[in-house]
Amino acid sequence: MIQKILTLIPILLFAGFTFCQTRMISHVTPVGGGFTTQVQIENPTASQQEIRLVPYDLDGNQLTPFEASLPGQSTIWGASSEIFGSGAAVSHFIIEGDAAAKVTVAYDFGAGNGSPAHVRSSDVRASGWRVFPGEWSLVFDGLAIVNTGREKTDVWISQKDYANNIIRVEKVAEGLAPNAKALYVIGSPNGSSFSLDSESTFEISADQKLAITALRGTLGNEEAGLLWGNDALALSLAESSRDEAGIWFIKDGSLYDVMEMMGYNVAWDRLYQAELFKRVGRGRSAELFGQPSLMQDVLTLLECYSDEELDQLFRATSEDNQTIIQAYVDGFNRRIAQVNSDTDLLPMEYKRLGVFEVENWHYRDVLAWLAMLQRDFSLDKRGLGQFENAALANDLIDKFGFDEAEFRFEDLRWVNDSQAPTMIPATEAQKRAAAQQRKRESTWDRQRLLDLRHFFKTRLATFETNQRQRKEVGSFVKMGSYAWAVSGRNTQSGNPILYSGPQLGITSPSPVIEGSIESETLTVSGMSIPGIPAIIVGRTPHHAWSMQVGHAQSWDYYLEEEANAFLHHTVRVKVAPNQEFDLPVHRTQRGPVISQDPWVSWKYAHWGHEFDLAGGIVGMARARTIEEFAEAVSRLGVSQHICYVDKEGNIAYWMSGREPVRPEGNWRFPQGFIHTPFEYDAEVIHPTPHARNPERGWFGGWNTKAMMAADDRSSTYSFGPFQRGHVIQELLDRPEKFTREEIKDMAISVASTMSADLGGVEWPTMRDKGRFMEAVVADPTPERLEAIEILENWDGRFPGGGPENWVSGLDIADAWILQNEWLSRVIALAFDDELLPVQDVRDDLERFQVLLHARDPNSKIINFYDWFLNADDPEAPQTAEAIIVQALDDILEMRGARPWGTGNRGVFILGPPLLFRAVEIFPFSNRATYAQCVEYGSDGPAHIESHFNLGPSATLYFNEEGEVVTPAGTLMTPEQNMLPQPVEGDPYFSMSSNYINFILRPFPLFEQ
Amino acid sequence: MLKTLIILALGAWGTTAALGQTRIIPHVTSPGGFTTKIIVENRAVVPRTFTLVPFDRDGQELASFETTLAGQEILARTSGDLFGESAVSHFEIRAANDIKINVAYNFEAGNGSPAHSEDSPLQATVWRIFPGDWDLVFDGLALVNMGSANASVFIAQKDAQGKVLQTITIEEALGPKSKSLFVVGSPDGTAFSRTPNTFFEVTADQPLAISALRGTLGRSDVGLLWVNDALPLDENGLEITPALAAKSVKGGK
Repeated sequence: MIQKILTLIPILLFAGFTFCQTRMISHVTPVGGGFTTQVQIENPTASQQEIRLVPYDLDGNQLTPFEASLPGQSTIWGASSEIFGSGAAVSHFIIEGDAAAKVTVAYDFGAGNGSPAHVRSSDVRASGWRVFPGEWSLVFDGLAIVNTGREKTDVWISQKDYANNIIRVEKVAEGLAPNAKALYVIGSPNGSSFSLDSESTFEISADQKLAITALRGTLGNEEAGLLWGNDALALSLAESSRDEAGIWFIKDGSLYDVMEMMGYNVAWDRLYQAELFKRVGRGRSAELFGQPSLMQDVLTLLECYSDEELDQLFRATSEDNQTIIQAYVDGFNRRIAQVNSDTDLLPMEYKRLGVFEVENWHYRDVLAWLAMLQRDFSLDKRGLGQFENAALANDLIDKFGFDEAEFRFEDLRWVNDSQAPTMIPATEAQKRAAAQQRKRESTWDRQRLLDLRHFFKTRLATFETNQRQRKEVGSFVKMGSYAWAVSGRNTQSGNPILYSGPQLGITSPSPVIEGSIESETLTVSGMSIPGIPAIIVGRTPHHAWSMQVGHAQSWDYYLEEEANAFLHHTVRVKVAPNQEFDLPVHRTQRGPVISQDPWVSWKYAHWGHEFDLAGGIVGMARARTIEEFAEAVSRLGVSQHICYVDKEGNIAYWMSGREPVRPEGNWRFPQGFIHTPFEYDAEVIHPTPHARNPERGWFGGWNTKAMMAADDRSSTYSFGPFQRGHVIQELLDRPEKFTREEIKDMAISVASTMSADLGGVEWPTMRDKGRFMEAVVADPTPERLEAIEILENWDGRFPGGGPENWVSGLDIADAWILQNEWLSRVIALAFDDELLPVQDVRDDLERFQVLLHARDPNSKIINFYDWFLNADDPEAPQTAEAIIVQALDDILEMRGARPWGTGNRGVFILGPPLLFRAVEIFPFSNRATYAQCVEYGSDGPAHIESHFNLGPSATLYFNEEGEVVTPAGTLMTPEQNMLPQPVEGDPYFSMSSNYINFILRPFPLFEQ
Repeated sequence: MLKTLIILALGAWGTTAALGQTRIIPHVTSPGGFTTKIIVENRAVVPRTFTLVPFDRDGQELASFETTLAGQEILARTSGDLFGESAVSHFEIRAANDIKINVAYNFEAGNGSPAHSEDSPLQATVWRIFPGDWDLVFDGLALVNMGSANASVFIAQKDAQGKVLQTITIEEALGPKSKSLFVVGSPDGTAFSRTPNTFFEVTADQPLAISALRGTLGRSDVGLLWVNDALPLDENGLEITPALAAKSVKGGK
């Protein structure tokens, strides 16, 4: 009997819900099922009302509506079979017509004694619901769930304890269609999938909004059937849909709701990738990958916050900030619980690593990854610059003696070159101020100099090893990026347009993901990085922005006395397969100790400022004015160039990052290296470089220097006459107005350049400032003049064959090879005699600039030394002109007959870590990982377009045959050595065609 | 015996309502028979301080309970744990909206299943309820005067066309914050006719928070109580939408 009654439970489930303004009764008992549903329709008003009830069957198919005109103060009261007809398989119905008409249903137990349960219609719908359990030895708890969204959805139920931990999850329905209904018994006298614990709750979740009725009853009692509605609390109003490419769109809900849904979506798409990022941030990679990742972990742990510090810093942030981060973590953990409940959902990488239960996320994981990512986005390369400079100084002293070394160093590490391109147009006054004559005055303290070469080389090797290791396992995010913002005065449409191309690496999976959030508390779409709860490069109804790695000098290293250090905390380090040890973490008053031989501490101006997402990056998205945006930029805990356009027609630029006001001194070295260490208050910082609406009508650059200043502060990067951003600025600097297509196509042109600065075209600078052509013309041969002709007829792009081959051509332009090799040979002939044994990782780019300083009569940087001399070899060329000509001859002889670059362009070969095979191959370009082009009219975005490589979902699974497949079932491990054939709609490959062909994909505008 | 059980049941029900920004749990059980478990849930991710202000049945304010819950923490305590031995009849909730209160009533004397009820902002001068089968269950009401003046409270039985069949005065002058208990019908009898397809409307000249309770206290071994749906109506008989329920509570944004 109990079993029979339990089979009737789903039939009893009932409730009333509505679609927005359309109310709903979400359950009608089927005819002959042992229960009857009485429907009462009441018109309480004095006037006639029209009512229309639209029924659906269990699968969501619409049935014949019931329509009636109700006279004033009248009621229709009848069984559902009388209202809709005895043959109709009505499962639930919506109520249309005048809102004054009330609809109530009553359920009667037809098989015996029972008391009717009355339920009214309701307009509550939510994607997350919570119910408390009853006592299942006496009652059952059941659910009727209607998908009120527009897309099919999986519905899950989670049991949680009172500490908000998920104990167990079950899938209630898979692919529940719009308007379809699912019935589910959580627990009953006949048993449950869950353990009954009075101190637990049950949460029902989906990515579409649901109407839910929770029913409790006593069907174990044969004398009487007692039923009643159990209160269910709507938790989340966010809903998430995906377009044909799998890009997610989250709508509605509180800040918590949308960020929780974002976390869930990202975990769905990139769970394993995010796990790698998390472990990088936490210094826990060796737990998965063993000894090869240990040094990376140790360096991370030495420089990062303790758990206690993370807790304190998190709790010190705003409520919005904590909400953003905790919600994102909760969304991750919701998905992790689902994955852990069903091994078929476990990404294949976990299984390959022998991990069969995914670890939950904690807000500390987000904070740690956030800090690590921001530090990775630094041109300072984790502090290598100062030690590299010190090692260079050591080498120069050995080579040239102490008195001469300082001035050689100043040539190689100049500051304040007034000819360096800048993001903010320089005024003449700024140029004059920056062009002060250098003086030959010694400042180095002979007594203090330590030999830091071994330390530097060791640290550099570790840095490079760590990068290689992270690339191998898929946890490395590169830095770079270009962007341009064009004023409406310079566009044919009259609207400002932003193009943003962050360069974070071309990998499989892509390091980025794209999505959209539209709610009252946050409306933004754009690019995110798994594990970071924010849209990092994006657009809102008001504005759009870019991000490119900036160069605020936000940290310094100090050579320390051991006595200054103290043990701060100890952390347990685990190394697969079974090693563990305690790592002591020391600090000084300045910051973390990163080396004990020598003792070195690290002072970081962003320390403690890295976690304000709500004020910073999310604040940028929530800004409603350019001033609010500027305020948010000032809170970023990372140095970035930011280009901006908005619907008011503004274009603007900032370089974020906390750059402390330091006392006058040499900050290109670790403090204590060439003079006594100087101190400063890291909370006192320089104003953020910023400009808006310049006369020329654009901002553009490629990690270009922010502004002309009298004080160049970067210890890692010496900006000179050649900088790759010139290619962007030259394209923007024209009188003709731009079309949107032209602004987009600039990216193809830009990405087709390559130089010693990893972009840009060197030949014009070689020719004009370096006077290469002048040297050749003064000493011509037919071969030399032909070489000049090749360069002069060249479009400046490395793909050969002209613009039609920039995207997909397979050849390298001979001119690019000539330019590249000629310049390298000139640099070798000029500098090798002095610097061949000198450790200098910067090499060609900065030596090119030194050469330009020597050759350009307009240069304000005058070298202290004539680097073209070759004192060791009187037979070698001794002048710039001779070196330039000799180098050209050498290259022409070495290269021989043309063509030189046929078939040599090279390709990207993308293959996911642990899959050990390529999944995508396409021609190399110096391109961005993600791209967005946004045009603003006065009402908001007029056009949004974007793309990134591969697709949003990088989650791979094993199928039953043990083959690796994508979420859409595309086979990734075919027996033959062929690339998988992308399936239309497969979110693993859905962006590939657009991306490979440089075609931006229209992205929906905001509905608000 | 049956009468006693019903009184115990009436001493057990609860629902939630709100008057403006004031939320209230209209009923806390008296000691003996039933326990009232109060479940306080902080849906925010940050700590929240809340205050529960109890009243006795005559509307006299008693010593309040105040504490702070950590983010996403749930506190579950009996009313005795929170308010001590005082004669708490109902209590107000002074807290942010992301503090959610759920009350559960358990039958102490035998088998039973807790009946859970969420807090809600609904309050009205007209409430409608539909009757159960009084051969099996009873229908009772707990009413709290949420107004600032004494309230006259009536209950009317109406037929399907809205015609009044009978009216009974529940309270002639229910004081502000005072509570009244009333049995509409039960296996022990009723003052109303047992005409099919009728319903009941409670009216007052002050806004009421109301809870309709249904239960099976006719069986000695099992005590089952639950909150029956009650419809708040405006002066034109139109249903008052639970607007608060349309808003998310997480984070309180």
